Amino acid sequence: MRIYDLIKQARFRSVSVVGLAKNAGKTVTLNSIIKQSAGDAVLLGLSSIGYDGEKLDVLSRLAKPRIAVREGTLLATAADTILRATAGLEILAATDFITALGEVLLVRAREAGYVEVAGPDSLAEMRQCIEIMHNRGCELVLVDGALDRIGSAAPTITEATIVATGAVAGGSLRKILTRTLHVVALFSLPIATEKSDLSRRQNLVHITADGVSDLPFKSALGHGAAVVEHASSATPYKLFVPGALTDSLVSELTHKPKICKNTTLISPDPTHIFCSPEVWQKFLSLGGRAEVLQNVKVLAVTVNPTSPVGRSYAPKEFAAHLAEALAPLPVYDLFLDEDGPIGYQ
Amino acid sequence: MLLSPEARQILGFDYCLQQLKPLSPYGQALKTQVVPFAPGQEAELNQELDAVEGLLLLLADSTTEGHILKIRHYLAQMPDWREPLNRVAAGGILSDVELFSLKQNLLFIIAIKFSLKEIKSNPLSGLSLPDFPLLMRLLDPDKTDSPSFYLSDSFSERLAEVRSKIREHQRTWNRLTDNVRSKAAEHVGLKFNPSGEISVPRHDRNIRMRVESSKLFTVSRETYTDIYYELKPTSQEQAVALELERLEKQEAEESEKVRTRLSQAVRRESDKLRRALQSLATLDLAVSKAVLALEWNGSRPVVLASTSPLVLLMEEARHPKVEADLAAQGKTFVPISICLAQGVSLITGANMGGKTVTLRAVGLLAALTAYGMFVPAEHFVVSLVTHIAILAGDYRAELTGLSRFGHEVAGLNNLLTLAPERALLLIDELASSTNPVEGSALAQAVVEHLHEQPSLSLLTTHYDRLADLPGVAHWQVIGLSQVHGNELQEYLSSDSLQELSELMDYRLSRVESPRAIPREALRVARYLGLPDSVLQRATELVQRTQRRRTTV
Repeated sequence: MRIYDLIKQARFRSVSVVGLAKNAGKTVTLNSIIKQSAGDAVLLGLSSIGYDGEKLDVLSRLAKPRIAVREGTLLATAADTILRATAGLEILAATDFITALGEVLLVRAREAGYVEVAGPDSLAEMRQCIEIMHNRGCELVLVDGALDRIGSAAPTITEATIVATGAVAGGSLRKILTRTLHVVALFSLPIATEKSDLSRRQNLVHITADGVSDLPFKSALGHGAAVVEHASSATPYKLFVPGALTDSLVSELTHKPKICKNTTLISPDPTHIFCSPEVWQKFLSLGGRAEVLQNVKVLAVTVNPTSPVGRSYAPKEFAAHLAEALAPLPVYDLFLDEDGPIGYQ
Repeated sequence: MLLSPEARQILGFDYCLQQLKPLSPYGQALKTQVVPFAPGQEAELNQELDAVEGLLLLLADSTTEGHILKIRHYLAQMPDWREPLNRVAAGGILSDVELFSLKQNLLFIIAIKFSLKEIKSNPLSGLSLPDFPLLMRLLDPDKTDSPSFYLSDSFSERLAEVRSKIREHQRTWNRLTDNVRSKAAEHVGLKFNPSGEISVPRHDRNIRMRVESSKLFTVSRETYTDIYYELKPTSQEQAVALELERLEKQEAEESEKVRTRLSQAVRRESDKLRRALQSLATLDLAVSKAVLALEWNGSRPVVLASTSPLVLLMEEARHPKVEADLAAQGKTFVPISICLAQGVSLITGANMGGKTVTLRAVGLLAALTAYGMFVPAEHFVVSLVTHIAILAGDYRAELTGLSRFGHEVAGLNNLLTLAPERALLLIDELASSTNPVEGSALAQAVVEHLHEQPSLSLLTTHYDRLADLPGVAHWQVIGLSQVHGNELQEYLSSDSLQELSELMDYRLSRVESPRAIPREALRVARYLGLPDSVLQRATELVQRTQRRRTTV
């Protein structure tokens, strides 16, 4: 089954692609989905969010990765990219969303060709762009999520996500595996039962069987020890952290194994969790648990076994390793085979 | 300059200007450029006020309100076309994005014109929004009436021709490469990746031999483990590719020709466009003035001729900034009424009785009028002035490095140079920053000097002797004078400042005969919780002074 077939089968109307590193193969993944959807004559929408090194070449001010679009495709992209597209683009409407490359415009490809896509800078704006494209009849909107903080949060505004990983994501095979598994695990965290009560909270919240109380902190940053002090409990409890969840707080917890085993951390969504795989593993192995208010549906992982900066792995072995570790999640090496995931027959 | 930056700040004029919100980039730009009307420009000012009044009436009428709101809705969406206009007028060539936003502007102009026509009475007599039928036809050759823009085939026959050739060649190219590729793949028994490469593991000598001996491939890149090959283009493919490249270049050239032609057409109408944008700016600013007048429940200022002596009369005036601050504390603003004429007028009365607010309101309303705005008052009559200057206590004294007195004298100096003009001069607590003997003497001298000048001066003071000067109009804050002693006692509870504002009568009353300034400082001090022993002693001393004065 091809990646596009996975999307079609689940009837997802918006899918983001996020890369774990530069040259992880996001553009290849996008182009592959676009090509595969051509047979169905699906009306596609395309945009991107955030900047990563490859998106904006500072010297030339070019948004680099070029995406092949077919006639009829809608795009939400900045004015400067329109001037450089080889596709014939009809400008449909302006959005008021300003980026370093000019205002984001809604355009339609009248002639097939290549486009550099650079969409809005914020999640709220991206959400609106997706809605606009849906309202204009797009059946599937694809969002290219850049590597920076905002782009990485793209999964929270689409119905499903494809994670692009590759040789560039880490120095060794083990490291790449660890990083990829970590991200997929975070994305798939279970949803907290207290969801509705917590979504509007500004402060950290301590939840026990006896009740719910606000802690006097808006963020755990800088006062991990104090937060743990306030929240520590001899009985199981949950701690909602509205902002970034980082190593500093989680390491505080892992230093107190007895508290740790009673702890369930709740984060708004997986993209708010910035813990390293090592610290996170320790937390879990000590009995800690984690939940989110909104999780991310990971549809597939794509692998690029080669890296332009040198190191590369024997493609088949590399991809097979990942596929085994991530099973039953489908893993694709689009360079080896676009038609199906690794291990399918 | 009508107002110094400092005066704008003290009067709250900047705050009021922030409340004025034109919605288009043109109106916003005009707002930053507006110059106040000067004495002699009463007719122009009235014309501006006519426009605002006309729009205000339309906004207040339910049958026309919708049209005005619609116009505002259109104005808010207009993309800024000033820079492209300058560029194209100077010979530049417009990009597709600029042509798109021009089309948007033209469509909004049509929509605004339509709404204005629906209203029937054009509130802005001087305003004319031209039509651009030629440009509209040029920008929309397919007559789709859609706001989108695309250099479609209809713009140029040549463009259509080249594009159709490109499509044809593209198809040929696809057919050729598919064909070659599938044959090659079959030959070596390998698949192509999305970049059109095949990868061969280095150690697999058999496959490498097969690939290399086929002569179909060249090496595109190598890694430690693999070698990547891509197809050598066939001579037929090369020919098609070359032709495609040539055609694409032609398409780009022809597109640029079309843009050049469109840009020239726009250039010919650039003056007309500029006038249209100017009219939009005027309309936008006038509508935003009307909206603000409605929010303030404002009235149209009555402007007197510059040939008659200066007059300023306000009834039930409010200061929007102070009013907003009070509203935030759950309090209401007590409207102020006062009537001033050329020469000097004084305000005396209790501390914390709102004298300074009156001073600021007078200056603010005069300034708003000069900028062609409605004012927050029941009734406001005023002459246009050359300057509005205010000298207010120790405002920013510490920043200038002068002592309070030094700062005051410097300000006074500046103010006196304006006195021979038709200026509005406002002084808070004149000469209060030095000893009372010299201070009051200085104050009297200043008042006597100002009184002879063509300007209109309003001062607040605690000095008795100023009120006694002949010809000087004297206003007094009613203050606490109507409050009885025991009532006062009742209010001496916890939250004194709050209670004080409830007891205080902020209204002004005109004092006709010479009368001593009421002594309310000690009563106010009592509200604010000064110890009784100190207050008692102070009261004794006041009484002794008064006795001595009567015996003298």
